[in-house]
Amino acid sequence: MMKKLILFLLLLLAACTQSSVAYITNQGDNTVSVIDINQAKVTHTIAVGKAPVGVAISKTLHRAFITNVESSNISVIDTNTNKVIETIALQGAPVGVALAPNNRALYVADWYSDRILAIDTADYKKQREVVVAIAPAGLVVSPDSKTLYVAARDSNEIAVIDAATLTINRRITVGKHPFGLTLSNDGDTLYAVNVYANSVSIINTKTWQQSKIKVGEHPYCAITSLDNKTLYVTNTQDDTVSVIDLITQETIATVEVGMTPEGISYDAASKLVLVASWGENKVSVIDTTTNKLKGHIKTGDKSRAFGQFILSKQ
Amino acid sequence: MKKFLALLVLAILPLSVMAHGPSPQKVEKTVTIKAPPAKVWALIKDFGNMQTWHPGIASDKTEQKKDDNGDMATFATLTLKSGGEIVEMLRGADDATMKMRYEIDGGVAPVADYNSFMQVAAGSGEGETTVTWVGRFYRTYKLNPPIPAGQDDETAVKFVTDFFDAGLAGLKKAAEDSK
Repeated sequence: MMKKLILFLLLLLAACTQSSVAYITNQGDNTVSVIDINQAKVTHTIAVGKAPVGVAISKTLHRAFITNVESSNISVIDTNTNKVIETIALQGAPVGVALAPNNRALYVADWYSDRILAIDTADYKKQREVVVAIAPAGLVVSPDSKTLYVAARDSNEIAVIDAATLTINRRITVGKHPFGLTLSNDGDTLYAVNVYANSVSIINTKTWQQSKIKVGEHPYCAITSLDNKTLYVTNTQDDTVSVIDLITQETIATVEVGMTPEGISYDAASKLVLVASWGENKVSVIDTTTNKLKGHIKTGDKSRAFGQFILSKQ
Repeated sequence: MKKFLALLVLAILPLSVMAHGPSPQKVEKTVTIKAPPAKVWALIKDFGNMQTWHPGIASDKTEQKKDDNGDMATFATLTLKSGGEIVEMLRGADDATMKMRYEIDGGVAPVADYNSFMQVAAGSGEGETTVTWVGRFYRTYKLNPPIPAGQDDETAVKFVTDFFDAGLAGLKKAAEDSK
């Protein structure tokens, strides 16, 4: 009886303290670092394919999908066991990756062949494709899973694609070399990070009106807070994150982070933003309640974490 | 003959600022110099006079012209002793932090989208300086494999590694000799 009670209490404690988890791709040593965000430490290091870049997480399917650009495949990680359970072979160079919120399709950008693959998550062999524009990079899917947005880096545009038919409905010219993309949580605003223009395009997805805000040098990726009031942008060649108030569209803080910050994700449970530092092999953690650096977590060689890399417990 | 052909191929390869490989490469090198930081920084920030300390450079000349965004910038054309030129653009040289940032905009270096910085800092010993040189760049080959020899990651990394090693050894010599 006593034993059972203790076990129950332990389980309860585990449930209460359960942390969100981050999956960080390490290009240089072909691994993924699994970070327990509350403990601020790496709990697992998983060997994947060659030069991993992109990450997409499905809480429902308990899967993390990792794009390995130099080995032309995707490592599928079971997030319950943190083991690679399958490797999906592809043609081309997979970089950007995103999951439909309904978990039915995994979208993969092929950097060299200018196309997007739509992989059926119930049967990885079922793949469709659409040729988009030159060097597709960042991907994001609308909350209703009906629209896929693709940043075509070398075409300086965003393609708006019908996810069901893979028809390109619209092309939006943005700044020079759009790379990372993110959406507000309601799906009404799209943010495209323009690497060569040092700006972020803010696009209304109903009227397609666009405005631009200046950020730091060679920005890469962006993420909004859960309340859609704040945008966080990695500036790869300033080693900073720009914190932007989306109501006034002004920069309210510039946080110094690890060298060459690339991927960025927001954890609603802890209200922390995690940033992968390619140049210093670590993750920088920003407390969004103060917009100050909280600390760093050592990861593997050349961390990129391109995509939404947090498995949220909220 | 093979070497000559390889060099010829490198020389005629257009260095595009457009598409590049999918995986950025990094070279990071550090040297400790027995000379004060201010003296070492004076050598590094003198963009366009790299031949005074880099043994691989025959001559260096600068000019002011507009960059891609239409802003005036300082460009340097380095003539290599091994042949060919490298065009660099100064991104900034900050006296307060002793950090110089530049990028490569053209020439024979087998790299794409190259950006780099040199950081000068006080060393651990009295009158000592450490210099860290970091380069981030891509291979030149932009299409799916197979990747031709001379356009791969290894070639790009080797070129930058050799350039940094020779340069930092030369910088150390120049700063320590001219006391």
